[in-house]
Amino acid sequence: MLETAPDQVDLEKLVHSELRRLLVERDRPPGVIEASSRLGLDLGFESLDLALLVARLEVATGLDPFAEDVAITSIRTVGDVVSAYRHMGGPPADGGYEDEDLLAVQRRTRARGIQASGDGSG
Amino acid sequence: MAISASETAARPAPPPSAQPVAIISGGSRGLGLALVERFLEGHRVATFSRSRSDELDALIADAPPETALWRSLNHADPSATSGFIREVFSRWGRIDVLVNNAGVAADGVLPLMRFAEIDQMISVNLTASVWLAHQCTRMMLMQGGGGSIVNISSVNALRGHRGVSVYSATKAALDGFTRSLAKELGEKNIRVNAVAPGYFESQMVNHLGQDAKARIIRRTPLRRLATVDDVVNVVSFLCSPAASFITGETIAVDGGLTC
Repeated sequence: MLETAPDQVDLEKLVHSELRRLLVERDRPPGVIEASSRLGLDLGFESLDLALLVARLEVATGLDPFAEDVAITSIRTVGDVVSAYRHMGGPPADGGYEDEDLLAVQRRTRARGIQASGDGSG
Repeated sequence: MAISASETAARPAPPPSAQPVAIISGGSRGLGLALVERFLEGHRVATFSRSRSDELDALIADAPPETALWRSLNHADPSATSGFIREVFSRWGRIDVLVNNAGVAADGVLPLMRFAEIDQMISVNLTASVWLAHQCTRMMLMQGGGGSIVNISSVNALRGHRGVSVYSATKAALDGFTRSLAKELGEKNIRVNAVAPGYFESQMVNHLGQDAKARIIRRTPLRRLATVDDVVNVVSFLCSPAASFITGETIAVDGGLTC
């Protein structure tokens, strides 16, 4: 685990580095990873790949934003992942989010929650 | 004859640092204690419970260095169990086996049960077991896959019995959890099974009178209560390479009571 809390640049580098590591392990070309890269459609990751990513990032940073605040199923892009780690301490004091990406993630999380509770299946 | 947890009878025992690592919840007494004892034959074992016992202390004292670990913690406290798993992984570098053994039981017809009893059974038997599996599977994924999870269920999950409706619900839920988790993790060679013991000689049947025990034995095709070893043998088998193609199963160890 990192000795001190990672800053924003460290987090982005760390997320990108772990994503590249996963691509290599899956025998896929590392290519260019951008904030807009979609985890599933562009990078070919499946849910267990993301589980491994989250586990590695938790060990590296001590952070797990998906334990409570954000549903992993609402994460679609590399930028979503970075935003979730950057903001896991909660929204700014003024109650607003600085990052539109995370706001979109939070909206999707809430939308999924409403859909699930009204589903009635199972 | 007991089945060796390590299946290494014909091979020299690996040094402790090369032994697989087993997490066993609730290892201070009863079935958990017997599981710790068996898995120490070839595994490094980490266990936890609210309080220690003389029997567990003796087992740990007799175990080779760095092969046995116990911590006092509340199974239902997710941050405590997360910290425990992180400690084990940091100390021993891997987690190969999880036996979700810890559980509580409270008898009584549902309309007379207190909310606290219901809540505790669901929290300890179900939520805490699911959370422990959540934490362990992350570590299993990090080590490249492979591993075995055994959830201790109950014959009460398979058949209805008066006075144990909530307990039955928690154990039946664990069986469903077992099947779905097996499907989720199979591609990573992480196997998930459940063992459903019948009534075995333990503190949990001490409250039964002689008549009740005799009635259970009469209804059991093999005409006896289970022993702790009967149950430990099956858990050990499921975690061994001999069971490498078994996942998603609930195996009743009940002398045929539910067949």
